[in-house]
Amino acid sequence: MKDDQIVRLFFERSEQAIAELSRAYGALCKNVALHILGNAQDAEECVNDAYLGVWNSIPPHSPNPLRSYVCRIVRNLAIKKYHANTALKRNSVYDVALDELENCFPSSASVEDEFSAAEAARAINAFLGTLSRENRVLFVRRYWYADSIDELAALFHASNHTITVRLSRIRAKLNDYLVQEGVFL
Amino acid sequence: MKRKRISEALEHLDPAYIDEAAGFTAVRLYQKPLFRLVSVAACLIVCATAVLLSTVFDKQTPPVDTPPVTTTVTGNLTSADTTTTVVTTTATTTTTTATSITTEPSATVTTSTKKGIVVKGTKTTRTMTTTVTSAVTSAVTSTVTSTVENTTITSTTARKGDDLPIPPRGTTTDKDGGTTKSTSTRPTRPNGSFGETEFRPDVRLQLDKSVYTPDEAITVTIENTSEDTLYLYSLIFWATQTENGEWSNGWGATPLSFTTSVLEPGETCTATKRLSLSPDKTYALALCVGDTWIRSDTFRVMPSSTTTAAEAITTTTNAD
Repeated sequence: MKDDQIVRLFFERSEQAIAELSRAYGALCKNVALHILGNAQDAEECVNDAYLGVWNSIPPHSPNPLRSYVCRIVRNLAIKKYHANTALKRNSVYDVALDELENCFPSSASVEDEFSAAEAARAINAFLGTLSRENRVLFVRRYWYADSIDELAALFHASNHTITVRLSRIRAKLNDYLVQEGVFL
Repeated sequence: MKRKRISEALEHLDPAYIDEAAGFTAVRLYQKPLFRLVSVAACLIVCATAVLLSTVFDKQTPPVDTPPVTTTVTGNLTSADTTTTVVTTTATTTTTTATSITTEPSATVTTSTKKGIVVKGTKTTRTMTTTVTSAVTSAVTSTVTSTVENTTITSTTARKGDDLPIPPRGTTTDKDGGTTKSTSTRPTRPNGSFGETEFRPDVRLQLDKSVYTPDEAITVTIENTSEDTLYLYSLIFWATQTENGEWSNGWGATPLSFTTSVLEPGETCTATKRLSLSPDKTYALALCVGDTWIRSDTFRVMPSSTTTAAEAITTTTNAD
C-alpha cells in the first residue's frame, strides 16, 4: 500500500491504518530502535509507542514522506529510552556510531561559541548535500539508522574494511567542513 | 554533553536524506562490472593506438638495426671484389652492397687422393663490411659487418720442388694435378748385382709358391705394409742365384702390370705372369717402387726337358 493510502486510513481513523503501517515499515522501525537501544524487547516497545504517536499525530499532520516521519518518531522515542538507559550501560551500535562522530565534531573553546543542535543539524544537512549519493546514504545509515558495519557491507556488497575506510574518509571530510564553517559543539 | 548535542543534531536531519537512506536498495559500492568494462575498453583503445602508431612509424622510418647479413661466397675473393646481397626485412627491401672485403687466410690444407691426384686447398676466413642503404630513405644508412667463412678446394699444378711425393723414375707427370701415369719406359736397373742392391725391409714381393715349373705362371702380390705411398713400376726384374749362393751380375726383366700403379699404405695388389725362366735354377724378383726397390724371397724352377720362351724376355747385362 502506498504512503498516501495509509495516511488516508489514519485520517479515516481506521484501525487498519496501524496494520498497514506496520506491514510497510515495521521491520525498518524495529531495526532503527534496535540499533539504538540494543535490546529487542525495548525496541519492540519503542516501535509500538511510535505507532501510537503516529495515530495521535495524524491527523492533523499529513506527513510526506511517511517513512521518514515514522522512523523519526521511532528514533526519538528510542533515543529517549536510550538516555534513560545510558546510566546503566553503553553497548549498542548507536553508542559506537556516536563515538565515531564525537571525534570529528570540533569542540568549542567557550560556552558562548557553542552552536545549538539545530544549527549543527543545518551544517550537517549542508554537508550531506556535498556528498555523493552512496556516501550520503552510507553516512545516514550509519549515524542516523545506526546500522552496523556488517549490515552496511551487505547493503553495499563490499567488505567490512571498505566500509570502515569509506566512513573514516567521510568523517574526515565532515570535520574539515565543520572547521571551515566554524561549527563547534 | 557533546554526545547529547550530536544526537540532538542528528534528530534534525533532513527527512529527505532519511527517506533516501531508508529506500536505498542494495548496490555495489564501486559498480565493479561497469568499472571493469571501462578499464578493458580503455586498454583496448590504448593497444590499438600503439599498434597504429608503430605501423606508421615503421613505414616512415628505415630499419636502423638491420639484421646481420650472411653471404655465401664461392671462389677466390680479393679486396677488389664486390658482392651484392639483397637483405629483406619486415619493413622494406634494402639492397646491400659490399664496399670492401678483407681476406685473411687462416690455414692451408693439403690433401691427396688415390690414383695419384693431388689437390691443395686453402681455407679462408673473410670479413666483409657492408654498407646498407635503405630503399625508402637513402639519407639513412647503417653499417653491417658479417663474417663469411668459406673453404675453397682448388687443384694446383704439381711442379718439381713442391711438397708432392717424388714420382717413380721412368714415369711421366702430366701438367694438371700431378696425375701419375704408368708408362712402359724402361727404368734404370738397380745398381750393381742383386746382392749389392739395397731393398726396402718393410715391403716384400710375395709369391704364391716357392717352386715352379718352367712354364708355370707366377702370381706376385704386394701388400703395402709401409706408411708410404708406393708407385709401382711396370717392369719386374729377376736375378739368378748360383749353387754356391752368389748372385749373377745379369738381370732379367719383363713388363708386369699390377692392378694399380699407386699403392697406398695397407692396400694390396697382384699380378700374374708366366716368366719362362730357366729350369733347375734359383731366382728372386725385384720391383722398382719410386726411389727404392723391393724384392721377393728366392724361389726354385724345377728341371724340365723342354724350354719354352713364349713370353718376350728382355735380358740385359749389367753394365758393370
